[in-house]
Amino acid sequence: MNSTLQEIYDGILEGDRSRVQQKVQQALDQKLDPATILNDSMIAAMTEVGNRFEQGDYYVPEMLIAARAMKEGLALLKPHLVRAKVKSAGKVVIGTVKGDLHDIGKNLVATMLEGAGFEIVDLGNDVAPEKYVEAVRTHNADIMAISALLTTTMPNMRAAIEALEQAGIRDRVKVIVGGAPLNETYARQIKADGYAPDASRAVHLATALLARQKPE
Amino acid sequence: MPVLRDWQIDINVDMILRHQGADPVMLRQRSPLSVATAERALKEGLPLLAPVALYRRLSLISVTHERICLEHGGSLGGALPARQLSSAQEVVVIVCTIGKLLEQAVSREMSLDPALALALDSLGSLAVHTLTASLCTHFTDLAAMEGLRVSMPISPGLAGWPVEQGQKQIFSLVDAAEVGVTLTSSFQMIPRKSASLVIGMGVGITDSGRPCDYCNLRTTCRYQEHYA
Repeated sequence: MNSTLQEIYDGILEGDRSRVQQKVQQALDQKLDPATILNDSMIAAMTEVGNRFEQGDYYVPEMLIAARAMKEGLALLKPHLVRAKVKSAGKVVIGTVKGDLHDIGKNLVATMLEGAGFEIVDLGNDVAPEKYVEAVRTHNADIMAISALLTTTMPNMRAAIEALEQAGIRDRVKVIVGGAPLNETYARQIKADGYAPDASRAVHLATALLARQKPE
Repeated sequence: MPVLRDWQIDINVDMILRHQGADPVMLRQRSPLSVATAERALKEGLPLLAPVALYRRLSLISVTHERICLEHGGSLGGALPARQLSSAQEVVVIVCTIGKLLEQAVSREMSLDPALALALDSLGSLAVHTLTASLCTHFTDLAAMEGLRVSMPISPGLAGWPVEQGQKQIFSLVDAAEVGVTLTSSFQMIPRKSASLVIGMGVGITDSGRPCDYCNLRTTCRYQEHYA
């Protein structure tokens, strides 16, 4: 790997945002391809961060300072990605269900998905089923990510999925769910496409679901 | 209703790191930047805390099948209240909060600095836990002065007391708006860093476990040691 790209990679792993900003600018000054900067150093670094977290070698704070460094590097790179018409890994509409105001977990998932190259449309919290549907339609989303943290609001996850069915667009989008009271069994019962217990595994899940549906 | 203010909330950086699932010793060696973020959260977050609690003491009138009948027509129903409070002479119904300033800071920081936002959120969760622990100590000491014992504190959401049942009952017994706490239609408390609990007081109370024993997440929760 080019030494500047390696420095970006290492900077993200260490959560050193000033170093990442400096080296992204240096890479751009060197006229490196923006897609290469993004994929080969930044997303590669965040993938390694996720792997280390899942193996127990990184803690949540380390994962987040890495995501923070990634975010600040990405802010510099974004205009160049747009100009070069670099596509994102996919578009994700994300929100916490109607009646639920918890958003920390949802925000962590959004941060990690963004670090993996996904484009995020964050609907916030207390999201009604029809608002999910409208967002999926408007943004042509590939994934709808739903969060709930209360047993009293979990039923609204099913309502959101049923709203997609009633709107006739359920087969256009993959639905992933998460939140402390949830599990794989519940996700299957409400006919979600997948459940992730944490932000890192949400990235794997989103990536795997979109990879499965790509044409050969 | 009596309002208790002037609580001391003692939280340190290691507690914030542990709350985020980290080993502070390892993190100090491996990631000083992570520790610095927690230090900043503590410095900026502590002044935003406004811990306050409202309570009401109510005599127990009678116990029927899974229902504790209280003076002034109040009641607490559910398997858990019946099990934990039936030998009490009175109950103390409590709603407490650390206020809304910290969660507003979390929301502001989330898009700019998610690492700081999560550290601030951890501070908030620790602050509420510290406040409820201090409240339990306060009422244990008060009970002892009156020759009474106290039950394990119970909160809606524990096994045997669904949130939708328990929160409705608690919020009908106390005017939590006095301390700025309200309940949404899905029974979530606002500000989010708030807690509601009931403690039984009486001469005949025996020790009966800890809240974690009645939590549905006990098989996977990594905070049990922290809450012990």
